[in-house]
Amino acid sequence: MNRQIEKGSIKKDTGQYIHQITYNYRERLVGSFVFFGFILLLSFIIISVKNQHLFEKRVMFYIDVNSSDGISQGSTVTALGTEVGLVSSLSLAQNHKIRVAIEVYKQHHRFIRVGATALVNRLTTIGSAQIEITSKIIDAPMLEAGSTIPVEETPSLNDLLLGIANLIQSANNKDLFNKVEGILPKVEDTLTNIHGIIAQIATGHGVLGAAVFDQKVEKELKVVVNSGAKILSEAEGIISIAKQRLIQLQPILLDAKHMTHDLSSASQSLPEMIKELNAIVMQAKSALSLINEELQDIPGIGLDTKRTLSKTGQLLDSVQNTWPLSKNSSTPAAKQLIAPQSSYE
Amino acid sequence: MLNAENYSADAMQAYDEENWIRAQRLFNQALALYQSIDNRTDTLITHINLVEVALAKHDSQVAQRHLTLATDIVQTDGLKSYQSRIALLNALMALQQKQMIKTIHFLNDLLPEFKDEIAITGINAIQLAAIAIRTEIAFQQKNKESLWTLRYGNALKKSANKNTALEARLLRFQSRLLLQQGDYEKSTANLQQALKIYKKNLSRSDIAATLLEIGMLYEKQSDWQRTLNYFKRSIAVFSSIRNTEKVNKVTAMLAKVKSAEANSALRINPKKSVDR
Repeated sequence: MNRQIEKGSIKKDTGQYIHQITYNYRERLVGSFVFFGFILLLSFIIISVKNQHLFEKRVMFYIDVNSSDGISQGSTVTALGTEVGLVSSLSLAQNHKIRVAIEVYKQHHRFIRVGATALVNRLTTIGSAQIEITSKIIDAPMLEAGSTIPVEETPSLNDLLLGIANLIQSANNKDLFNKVEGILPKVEDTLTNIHGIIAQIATGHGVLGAAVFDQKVEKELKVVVNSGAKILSEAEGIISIAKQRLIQLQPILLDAKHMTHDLSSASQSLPEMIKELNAIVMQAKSALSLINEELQDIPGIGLDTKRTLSKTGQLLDSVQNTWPLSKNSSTPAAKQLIAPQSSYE
Repeated sequence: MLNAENYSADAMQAYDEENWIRAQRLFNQALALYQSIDNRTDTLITHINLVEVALAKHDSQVAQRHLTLATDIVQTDGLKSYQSRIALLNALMALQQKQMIKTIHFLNDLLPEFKDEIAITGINAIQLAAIAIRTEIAFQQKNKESLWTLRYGNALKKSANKNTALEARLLRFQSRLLLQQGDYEKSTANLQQALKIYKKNLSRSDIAATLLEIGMLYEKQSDWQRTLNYFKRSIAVFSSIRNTEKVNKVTAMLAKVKSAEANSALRINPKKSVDR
């Protein structure tokens, strides 16, 4: 039988098939296109297989979680920011927990060390949880396959919202909002009082003498000041006696006829004693003037203390001016005339 | 001599504390000692001090006695530097006795020469006190109060004898001027400032007088509550310095205010009186 000559083959009338072994340009072109297409497809498949770790060896680890919320088969597991495995299965474990099996790729096994902990973070994405394994000590030995890794779980957004709702509900039940509303005006009053206190202190009204201030503090201060005034009064008595003694000594020491050898030797130590007394008197005076300044702003009580201090200061002045202390003293005489006045109330 | 100085020093202290009785006693002791050694200058000074104390106590008899003795010493010993002080004391005594013409007569020799409201010459302490007295007279006579207040203010600025009490006095004069102009707010503010100064100085008689003035200010505004408050406080301070005369005066004013307050309450609620 006669057949049509087909492309790429020679058919003889004899009926025998002989395969074509030479091709034309077009045929070669098509063939190379198909071949390279196949190569490309193969390479894609290889890359995909590698990315999906299809044939990669895996190491199994486990974590026991309280809730599987957000965790599903295929959930990724990361360590140090790198995807190291995935969740392979979930099953019920003892103590009403859920055992999550994690398959970690062999090449990333080195990230999982002894002492590692897993964090199930449900707050990063709504509806799914991120499992991250953190190794505290990177030099520790690698964790054995099949180990259970301790886990920390964060609550989900739902849980948080539920918690807040519960708080609001319980606050509402206990009428807390109304109570806070009631307290606020009192807080405002207190703040106004505090402002008033600060303003009064700033204008020099002092701490005492106003009902707003702490009366206990005022009482304590009064006690301190009164006792201080008493101490100063006693000091005043002692200094007056000392002054009298010095006055009595004066004529004896002045009269040279009465000075015996013993008396003159005794009087040699007098200048030193007088120096010491002078120094003590000066120290007391400066302490008194400091106290006096401090008490300037305290009305009422300050009057008594100021009086006592001024009196003591004057006595100290008079002791200073008494021989033999007055030798070294160059203090001018006090004004004895009252200043001119324009009215008396 | 030493004892006399000590007595004088103690007496000055008592005067500063407004303890007039003690001051008088100590000055008298000092006077006796100075007289015993015929120390004329110190005797004169002590007499002057005793006049001041007597004026503070409003004891015109004792004041006059010591003033006469002081004048004798000044004239006898020719201590002319104290003449102006004697004149000032005379003016002060006349002012206390409300003898205005006599006061002005004594002040005329003390007051400096003015060109409008500015003194031409320098101002010493006695002249400053004289200007203050003259300003007080101006207010009492309601004659040239503003001019004298200005003169006092300018003299105070010029004077080397400034102290906070004198500044407080100026504030009180200015407050009275503002009151005349009807500016209650500024007037009160000035008095409050003066009160602060007096409280810092612990000058009780001035504190009492200023409290009284503030009370009178509120009385003019018919603010009875505040008036009563300030009058009571004034009485408390006057009592502490044993100024019986002022205590009685303010107590009478307090009674008037209470009755005014009761009357105004009746006007607001006449029903209450009917029900009674």
